[in-house]
Amino acid sequence: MAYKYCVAECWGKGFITHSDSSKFQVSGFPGNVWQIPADNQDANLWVNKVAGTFKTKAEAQAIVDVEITAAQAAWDALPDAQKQEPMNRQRPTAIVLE
Amino acid sequence: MTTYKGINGFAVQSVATDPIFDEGQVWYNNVSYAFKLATLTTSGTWAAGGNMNTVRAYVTGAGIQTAALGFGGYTGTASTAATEAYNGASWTSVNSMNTARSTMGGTGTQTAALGFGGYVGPRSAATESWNGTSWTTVNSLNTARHDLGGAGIQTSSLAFGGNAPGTGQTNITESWNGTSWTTVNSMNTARFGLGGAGLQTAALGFGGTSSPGARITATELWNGTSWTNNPTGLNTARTSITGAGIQTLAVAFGGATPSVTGATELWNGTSWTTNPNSMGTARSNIGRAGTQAAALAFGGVSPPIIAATEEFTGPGSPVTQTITTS
Repeated sequence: MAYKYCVAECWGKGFITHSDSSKFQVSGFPGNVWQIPADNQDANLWVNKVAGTFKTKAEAQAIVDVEITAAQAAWDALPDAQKQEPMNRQRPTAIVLE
Repeated sequence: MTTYKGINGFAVQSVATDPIFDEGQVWYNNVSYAFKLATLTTSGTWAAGGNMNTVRAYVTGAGIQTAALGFGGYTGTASTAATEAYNGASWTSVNSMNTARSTMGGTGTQTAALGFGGYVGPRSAATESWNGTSWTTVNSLNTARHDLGGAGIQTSSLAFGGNAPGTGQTNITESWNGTSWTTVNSMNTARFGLGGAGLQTAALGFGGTSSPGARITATELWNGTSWTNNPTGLNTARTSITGAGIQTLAVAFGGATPSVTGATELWNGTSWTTNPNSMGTARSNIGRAGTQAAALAFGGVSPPIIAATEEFTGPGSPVTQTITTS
C-alpha cells in the first residue's frame, strides 16, 4: 500500500475519531509524524482537520530519525546499572517508514 | 422484478430523520436523499482520548473506559507515584501512591483499585489499595516481582507471572482475598511482560517473554484452581503487551516484537483474531482499563515515552451505513 505523511500535534480527544479509524488507518510515529494511506479522500480531509503539514517520505523519515537518534543517545548515556533496569532494557530501535 | 416489498412484505420507509437504531432496518432519508442501513460493526476501531498529565510508560491501570485510574510508571528519568483519574475525556491528577514504582500489576475500578508488585530499584512485593481518594499500604505479595499479570477486583485479585529473583521469568501465581496473598498453582509457562484479563476465578494470561529475547504467543486460562494451555496463541508474538476484558471476551494491544507494535487482537474465549484497525500510535508498556467492547490504553513507550491515550470500541457497535451503488 502507498502512504502519505504529515506532521500534526495530537491534542487528545477528537484528534482521531472512531469515524476516522473506520475509514482509514492512521499510524503515529515519533516526532508527531502520522502515516495515512495515499489517494484516500477521507485521509486527506483528516489531515486538514488536524491542521497537519504534509511531508514527503524522506522528510518524515528524517524527523523520525532525529527523535530515535536522540532517544538512542539518551540510552547510551545511561550508566550501565540503569541499563539493567526493566524500563531501560532495550535500546530504542530505528524505525523505517514504509 | 424482485422488490424489497416483495421480499419483506413492506416497503422501505421514507423519513426525514434517521430512526432509532434497529439492526437490519433499511430506510430512505428524504433530506439527505440516501438509502440507509442499520448494522453492527464487524471490527473494532481506535480513537484518540485525552492526554495524561504526566508523561509515562510502565504505567498500571484499573477501571473502565469512561472511569479509569492510571497509577505509577516511569517518566524517563525516574519511577513515579503519580495517580490520575480519567472521565472519558480528560485526566485529573489525584493523590499519589505511597511508593513510586513502575511495571506493577493492577486490578479494580476507579474508586476501588489495587496495585501490587513492580520495580522500585529492586523488585517490589508491596501492595497498595485505593479507596477512591487515597492509597493505603496493605499486605505484600509473597514473591516480589515486576512485569506481572493481574486480574480481578480490589477484594479478589490474581497476580501471575512476572520477573522475579532467580531465573527472572516466573510462573508463580498468587491469589488475593482482600486481606492477604496466597500462593496457588503456577502458570505452565514462566514469563514476564505478559498481558492479563479477567477475574480471580476466571483469568487469561497471554504473550510475554519466556527467556531472554524469546517473545511468545502462548495463552493460558485460569479456572480458579489451575492454568490450562490454550491450543492456539496470539497471532503476533510480543512482550510488554497489554490487555483488557474478561476470560471469554478480551482484547490485546501494543507490545514489543521487539519493535513496538500497535497490533490489536480480539479474544472470543477460544482463539485470537487480528483486528484490522491497529492503535494510532504503536507502543509498549501501556496502561489499560475497560473491556473488549470499550477499552482504554494510556501512556507507553513509542519511543519516546508518551502521554497519549487511545479509546478502543470493539466490534458489534451500532452504525448507520449509507447504501451506494458502487
